[in-house]
Amino acid sequence: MTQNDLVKKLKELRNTQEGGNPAAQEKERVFRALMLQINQTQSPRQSIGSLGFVGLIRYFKPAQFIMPMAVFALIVAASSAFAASRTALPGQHLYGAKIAFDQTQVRFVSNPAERAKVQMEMAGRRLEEAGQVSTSPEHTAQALKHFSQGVKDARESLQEAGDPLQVESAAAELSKKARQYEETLLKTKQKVAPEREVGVAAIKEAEEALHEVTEATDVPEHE
Amino acid sequence: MQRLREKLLVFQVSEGRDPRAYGELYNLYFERIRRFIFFKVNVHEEVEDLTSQVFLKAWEYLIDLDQRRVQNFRAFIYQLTRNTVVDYYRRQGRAPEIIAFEDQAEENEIPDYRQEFFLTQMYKSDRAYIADCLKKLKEEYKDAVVLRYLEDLGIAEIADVMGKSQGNVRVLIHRGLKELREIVEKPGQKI
Repeated sequence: MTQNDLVKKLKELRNTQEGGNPAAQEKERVFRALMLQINQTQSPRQSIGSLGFVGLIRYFKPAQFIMPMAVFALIVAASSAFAASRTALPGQHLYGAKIAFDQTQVRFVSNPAERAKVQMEMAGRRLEEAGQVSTSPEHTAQALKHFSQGVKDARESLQEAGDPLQVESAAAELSKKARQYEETLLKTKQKVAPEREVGVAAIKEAEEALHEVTEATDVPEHE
Repeated sequence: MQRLREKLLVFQVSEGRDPRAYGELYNLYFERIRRFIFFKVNVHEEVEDLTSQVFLKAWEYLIDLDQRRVQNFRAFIYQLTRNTVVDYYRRQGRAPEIIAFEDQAEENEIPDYRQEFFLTQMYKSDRAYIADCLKKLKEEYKDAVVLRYLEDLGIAEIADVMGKSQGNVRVLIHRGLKELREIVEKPGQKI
């Protein structure tokens, strides 16, 4: 075996169980235990905003930046916008920023099975938002469009996943959420005026996306 | 961009004790740290426990105002992982093998791998075989090879993690690969 062959085999180990990658449940299990222990520490020390520019400088020394200090100021401003956007609803000014931040979070999840779960979770948020603005079919449609896309993205990520155990775990979770979302979507459907086509079309698309996920993830019971 | 994001998350944890920010760091590093420990510790049940310890210790360090600020979270958490495993070895009454560059005789370094495990184990795949051979390497070779080819760290980062010069790290990687090849290719090992 050449050295290159050996290096190639080592790199192949990266995303496999033989290479030390955990089962999906282990990550969640460890996380839950960790958060329990963390919550036993003292309550949050102070708000980030109160620390000011000097506090941030300790972490972001200019010499370590590739870009100039203007970018740093942009990050601080973006953080403020981030905080404000968290409660934005469809039709509001910062809703686009909220979607963009959520999508950025998804991008940092490298494992496809985990990414599918996060995407499904994010889709659920869009569905909740749709329910909160159901008096406006246009805004409902906007949220439902993001919801449908999130569900489709989750399905695609699941298809990319390789490890059978992770796929099984993620599929079970997606299937469970899809069923919950079907009920929520039905309630939203009842609130949207049937004569407004834009709302009806968005709901139909969302129903189809959920149906595809349910079909793809349902595991038949063994006899 | 990821480094910048990590710095922001570390800042949120250190100054604001934000568990959500720490959750994102956990998400980014869990598989890596778990994989790294997997190759250092032979007892499967301990891998999960040690991984958990590493992340708890990292949290405690970050929120402790008396500690030095963490500038490079990646190097920090790998260093912490190595230290945690060393502590684990000590509790087991076992010292990790350290390579001294000055007085090595390469011909004496090949580990004795004539163990029942290799003679009787049926490997389900090449991958399992390579992983087992990798576990047989001396600790510093193993660390260098795992950090380089499985964790995809650069030489400078590995030097930071291991507390060595970049030149030493290159030598460790080179010798580690050489030894690994010898283990992999030893006749009669693979069934």
